[in-house]
Amino acid sequence: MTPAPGPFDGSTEPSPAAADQARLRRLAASQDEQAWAELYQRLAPAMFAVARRLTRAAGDAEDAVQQTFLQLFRARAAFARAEAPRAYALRALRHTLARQAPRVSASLTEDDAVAAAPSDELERAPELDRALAALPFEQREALELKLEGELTFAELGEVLGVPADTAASRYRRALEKLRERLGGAR
Amino acid sequence: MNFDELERALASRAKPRPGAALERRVLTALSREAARERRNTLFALAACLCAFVGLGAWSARIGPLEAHTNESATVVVVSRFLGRDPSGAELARIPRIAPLRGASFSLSGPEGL
Repeated sequence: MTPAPGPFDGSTEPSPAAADQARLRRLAASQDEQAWAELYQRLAPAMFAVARRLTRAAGDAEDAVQQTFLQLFRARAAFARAEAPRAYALRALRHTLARQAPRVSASLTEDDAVAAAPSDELERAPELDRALAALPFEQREALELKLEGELTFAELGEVLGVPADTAASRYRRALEKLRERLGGAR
Repeated sequence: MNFDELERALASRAKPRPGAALERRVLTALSREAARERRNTLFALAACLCAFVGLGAWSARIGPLEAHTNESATVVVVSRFLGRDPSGAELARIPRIAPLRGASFSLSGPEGL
């Protein structure tokens, strides 16, 4: 994803990413149902994908997405002021997931992370899914949020509540571990 | 396998997609929430209106207060409210601000201060 232009980069036109964020903010400020239907179209696929990757069942992921949208709607004034609404929505989703399923939280151990993987998928999972399921939860979470949420490292840090460098190192460590596991399997 | 290949492999996994049923569920929930908020706003407005009308009626009954001492203003307010002079016991039950020694009280200004 292209980072949003800074205030001193000399550009006059907002980048597509910045324009997208501005559009999301305008939609979020509205109480109009059409606006929220568009917000759903724009945000729900990434939110659902992240929730589905991090929860045991599709039903849990759906509940989390619905609950998160309700929270975003109730707090739409703050949502509309968010610098990165996409990251804000994913952070809200992460909190919902943590509340819904205490097992799916940053405090999970490696064994728990394996247990939290969708069991039906694990049975027929290819090597990559098995390697992913064996990652420590916080690394898997960083990886799934980055990839499914299409976030920059700064946004990933915002979602995770850590500095961008820490978010980047979690992501890199996840990739390294995956590479080791996949390399070892071959 | 290098990082780029790994990222490509991860990105090419089958993406979980939300179904149409979830969209209906979410939009229905949002619509209900919007209706609840509108209802609450109406209730709040109605409550404000009632309070305003009630306050107006009460102040019309009490009437304008001219300059009175703190003590006598209390007597005037209570007697206008009751429609008769309050008894000593009734007056004793009314909490009041400790009067400023030698000061008078007026709604129109701090006369005598």
